[in-house]
Amino acid sequence: MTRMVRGYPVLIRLAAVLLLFTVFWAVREVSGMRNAAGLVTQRRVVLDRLVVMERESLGLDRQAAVWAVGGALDLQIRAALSRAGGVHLLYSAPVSMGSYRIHKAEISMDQSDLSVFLAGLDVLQGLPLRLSRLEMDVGAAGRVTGALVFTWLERL
Amino acid sequence: MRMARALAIGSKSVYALDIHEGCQLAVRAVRRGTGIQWLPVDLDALQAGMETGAAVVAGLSAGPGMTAWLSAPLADARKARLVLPSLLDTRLPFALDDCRYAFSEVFPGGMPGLPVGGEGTAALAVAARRDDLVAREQAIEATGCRPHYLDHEGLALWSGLPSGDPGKLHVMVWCRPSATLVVLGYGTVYWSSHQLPGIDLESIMRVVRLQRRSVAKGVFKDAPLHWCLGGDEDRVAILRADLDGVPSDAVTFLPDGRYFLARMLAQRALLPGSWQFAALAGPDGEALLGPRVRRRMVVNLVVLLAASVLLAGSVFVRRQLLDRQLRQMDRAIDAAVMRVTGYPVVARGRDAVLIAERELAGQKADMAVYAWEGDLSVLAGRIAEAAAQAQIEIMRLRLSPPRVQLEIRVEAGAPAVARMRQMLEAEGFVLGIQGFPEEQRVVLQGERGLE
Repeated sequence: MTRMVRGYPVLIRLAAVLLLFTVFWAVREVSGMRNAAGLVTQRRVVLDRLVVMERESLGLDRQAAVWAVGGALDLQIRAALSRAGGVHLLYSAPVSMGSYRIHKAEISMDQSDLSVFLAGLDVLQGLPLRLSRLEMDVGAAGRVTGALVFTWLERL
Repeated sequence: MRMARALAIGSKSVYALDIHEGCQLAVRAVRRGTGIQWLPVDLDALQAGMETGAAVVAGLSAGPGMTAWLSAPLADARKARLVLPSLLDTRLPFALDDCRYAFSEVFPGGMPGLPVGGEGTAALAVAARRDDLVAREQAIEATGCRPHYLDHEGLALWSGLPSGDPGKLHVMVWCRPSATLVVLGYGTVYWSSHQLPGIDLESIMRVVRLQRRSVAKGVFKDAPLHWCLGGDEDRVAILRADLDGVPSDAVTFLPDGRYFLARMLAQRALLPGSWQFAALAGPDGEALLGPRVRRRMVVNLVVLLAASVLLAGSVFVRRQLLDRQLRQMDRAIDAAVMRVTGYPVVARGRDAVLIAERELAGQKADMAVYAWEGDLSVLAGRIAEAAAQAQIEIMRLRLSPPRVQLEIRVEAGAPAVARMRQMLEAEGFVLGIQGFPEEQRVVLQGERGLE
């Protein structure tokens, strides 16, 4: 009864409690929002970094477009490499780069002298290949051993 | 004793009515700090005040407004409070459901001055039939005033007890032209109220004798009496004359003349005090609030609720916007990482960026050969040719853009080595030379920037 006739103050108190609760919740939310704002800033930095990376990636793509070959030429390259006269021919797993694939092949050479070693490169003249690494050691008897790594780009 | 809150919650001013047969008195009281300021007003002023929304309190006489001390054989106040309605039900000549009622705080049974003996706990109950409340309201409304709530006149009178001498039985007598209100209590403890027709000392003494003999099994029957007289001045004078054997220090005259009760009604409405009950509100169960206060409270309520909703809404919206922004940025990051790597990356955030960086570094390393100016095989041919011309024997050659390492035999002599160095520098290499005389070899090592 007493509670009923004093209904308004009870309601006011409830509303005040609700407001207090809301303020408490809002304060907690504000700290959460501060975290979220920090996350937004972090992501903005990440995005800026990614924009730079994308630009670099696009530069690589443009470069690759000049050198990329189609599937048919890719077969020709593989045929030529197998005729290059190496002791071993080893293909690496191709690496994807946007709409291109980077292929690598390593030819191990064992030749009587340097001119013969270098002549092995002539077989690949005219093909869109790049020699990406050359290692050679000349033995005491003038025998040359080493490896040649060729790179080419396939357009997907 | 605990102080109960003011009956007119939140009101700063009230009108108090003391209306009975042959008596229509009104005061307007304003709260000033811990006290009140009051002045008598006529009913026209009261009606004008009502129109502005001021609260109006009126008295309910001791007949329809019943008070009763209840004794519960329970030491625990909380438990005792639970059984009080049942105890009151047995004491009332009406059904409890037909009444409004309330209880005071629960006192320990052994408290001095209590009119109920025994152990356990005791509490004062105040009750009134709803029909009586309606009738009282209608009677007051007939004068053109509508009370917002009713207060018990006996308790109001007792609240004005000048001094609660603990060793005396106080008899407060309120004289009206046609009736007498007698309130009894020991020390500051209220006992009972009695509405008597007319004014007759013998009737009053009968009530007093009866109470002294019956209350608490006659424990107080020898307690000295102290009289407090107030109300209609003429009748108070007659009564005082009838009490001719009573010494003057055993009689106190209540202040403010006929307005004392109305003033006490106003004081109880505005200030906290003892023996104040909220049970005798209007019969429709309205709160004990004047319309003005009610309006203010509704405004406060709405403002508080609106503030809550506004605060919660703004925080919620802001949070949603931030979350959406984060989701958009996450999607943009995923898309950018995929554009760099060429495949979808499951990792998120910094990990995804690290993967993209590693992937891009690998791509750059693989594409470094295309950034190299000229063909590596052509360069190898030139180095071999230059070595042959300078009659230099090559021991080792390493070409891996952007680095070159050339190891030659030392017999070639310094000029030949210098020519070789010149040739490589002309190709754009920045060289360093290391000689190993004991092994008879010289190492030229350098780097060339990419395009």
